[in-house]
Amino acid sequence: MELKKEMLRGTQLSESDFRAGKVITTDWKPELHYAWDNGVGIGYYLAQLKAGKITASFCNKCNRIMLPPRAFCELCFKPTDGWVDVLDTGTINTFSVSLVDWAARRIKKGERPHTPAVIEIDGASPGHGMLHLIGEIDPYEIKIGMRVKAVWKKPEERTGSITDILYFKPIREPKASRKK
Amino acid sequence: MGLRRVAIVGAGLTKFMRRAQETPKELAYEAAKLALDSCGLRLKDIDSVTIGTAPDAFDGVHRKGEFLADGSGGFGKPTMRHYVGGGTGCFSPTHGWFHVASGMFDTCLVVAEEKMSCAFPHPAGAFLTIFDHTTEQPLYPTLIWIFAMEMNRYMNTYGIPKELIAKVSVKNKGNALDHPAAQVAEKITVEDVLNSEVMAYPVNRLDISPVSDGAAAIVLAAEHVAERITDKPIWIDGMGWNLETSYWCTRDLAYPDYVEKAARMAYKMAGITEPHRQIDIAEPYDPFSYKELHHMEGLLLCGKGEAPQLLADGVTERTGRLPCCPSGGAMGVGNPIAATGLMKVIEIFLQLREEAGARQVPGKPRTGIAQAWGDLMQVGTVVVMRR
Amino acid sequence: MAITKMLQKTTEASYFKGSIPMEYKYTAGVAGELFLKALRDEGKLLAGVCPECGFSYLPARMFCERCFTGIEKFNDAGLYGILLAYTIAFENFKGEPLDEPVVYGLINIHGTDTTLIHRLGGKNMENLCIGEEIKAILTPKNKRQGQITDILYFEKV
Repeated sequence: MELKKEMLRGTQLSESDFRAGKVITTDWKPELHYAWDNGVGIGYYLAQLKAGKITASFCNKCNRIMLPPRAFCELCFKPTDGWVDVLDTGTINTFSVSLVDWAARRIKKGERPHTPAVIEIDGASPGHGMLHLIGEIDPYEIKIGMRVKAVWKKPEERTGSITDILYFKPIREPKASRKK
Repeated sequence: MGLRRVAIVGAGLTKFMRRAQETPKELAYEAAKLALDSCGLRLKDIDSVTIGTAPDAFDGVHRKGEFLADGSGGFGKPTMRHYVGGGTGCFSPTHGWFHVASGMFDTCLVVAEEKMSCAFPHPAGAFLTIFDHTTEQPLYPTLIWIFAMEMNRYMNTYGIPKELIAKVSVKNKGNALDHPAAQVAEKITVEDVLNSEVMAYPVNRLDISPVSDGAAAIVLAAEHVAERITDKPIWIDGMGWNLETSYWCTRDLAYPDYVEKAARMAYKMAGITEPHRQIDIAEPYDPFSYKELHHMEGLLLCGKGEAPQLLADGVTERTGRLPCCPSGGAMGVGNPIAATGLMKVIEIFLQLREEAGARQVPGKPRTGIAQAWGDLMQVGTVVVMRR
Repeated sequence: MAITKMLQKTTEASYFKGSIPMEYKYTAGVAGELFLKALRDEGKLLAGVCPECGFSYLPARMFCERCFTGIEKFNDAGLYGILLAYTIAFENFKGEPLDEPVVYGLINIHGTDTTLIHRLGGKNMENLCIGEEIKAILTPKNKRQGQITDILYFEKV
């Protein structure tokens, strides 16, 4: 049986009907506040961020140095074997230049677009990246493959959060290495 | 495998809309009722019900499965909910299949529903919480970031220009002009896509499917029952589903490995050894324009990085060798998250029965696939159907 | 040593605070809209009656969940009913103590087959009994908003 337009139900409301309250609605703002347990893996990761370090966990069986650190290896399904500090430099795997925020609102005129990136951190296994922001560069000059370094908050301002790193900035390579 | 053969015998949908007046229950009812009417069944003929619906945070009702149960025909019946984010709609037939193939039930009503318009300030905000609450949420990420970054990686890895990807929007929004439920069908050009406002580079507004309210439903029946109900049962011959790591920064974003694994699982079950030759029609999930191409590659319909060329050569048009998204897809019909995947399954169902009206692809297709994808970009769900 | 064995004391455990900042605007639906408008504009409680089984739903619904048939007939069910059960709440939904206890009742409006939850109030509250005849007391017409709270409370008759 072909599905024809007149067989399909659904009452479309226009944006203006909705906003002008022409249709009865019930408004509700749930109070959804959480205290998420950090667990073993992330708990230590955050404590180390407060100390100005990025720390990964390693699995001897799979030979992986994992970021963010996990308490168990999801590939071989056993507890991870220990911690290892990695560097705070890395390579941009991919990035975006976003003109909308988390609620799909456009940024204000003159405001710098948000520049999130997946950064493969030096010292972690290849492909192990973290989500963070890129700064100190024109958003439209960011390139995949760019080398970047973390810019940290002052020690007294750190709280044990991913935002203890403000953003990653491009590493300007010294001239000598470009001559190759 | 010792399991019974299962067919889809009926289907129904609501219109897909930006804001529906109907409550989630009413949306589910309209789709489920039409599905029953389409094959002449009554609710008493249905032995079991399964409901697919994605984050509770859209409709703003927890325990959404129970909430939707009465509208999905679940009153007084064995009813379950299943949920794998955006992948739900192409997992729905699989969940229903288990009910019937196992021999426990002869029929199953499968309903998928989403009402995203309740969520404020914007449904996109509900996605804030799919990110890790501690290591990612404090950065206030948006879902568009991940898509944009994945699209960027895909383009960069294979050297694909935006113009080629924009053609997906043009094709699908154009195809949707013939779909009765379509929310955002229109005739556009590649230039329109490239000139539409940038949301998050490299994604433009016309690269994204809309926020939608809608529901879809199908009726499944065991072989001996299906043959009494219809002379055109469409058999579910293969199913696959696979979940990748939620540590999304660890994945190769240029290639959806989890879609390949789900596809291989479905193809093995259906006896498909050369997907690019043996599949006649496909509905890959297309919430963003580049995703249709990304998923075509994961579905092994072509090699890595080759999908844009197939599109450019017209292979994936309705009149091409391998029509993709003849319905108009999420880009053209709409994207009420869980219902979208089931809409795609319904499209293949109608196409294989030659009941797709103006959207009908020529050549009497025999084998079709529908695929969806979801959660933190980590689940692949695939269904293979044959007449 | 496996990382999982490293947390020795619960005082070492940390947590991260955050919120889910979403708000909702729910439509009443096709039937709900009719019900709430009748309540707001005419002071009536509408019930929807299934054409097949005769089951009467209040608030009015668009379809019968038993027969899976559309409902198009809506009746004025009146404001009187019977108290099926009640409870007295001393805390709000967040667990904070209330200034005054609130009484909630499970109510069946005469002639309908469903029950409604609402507040009980007004006179003779000390001697509430299950099985009592009760009546819906509405907010003054000019203050009604098309919400279930346009019924102020149910009162002993």
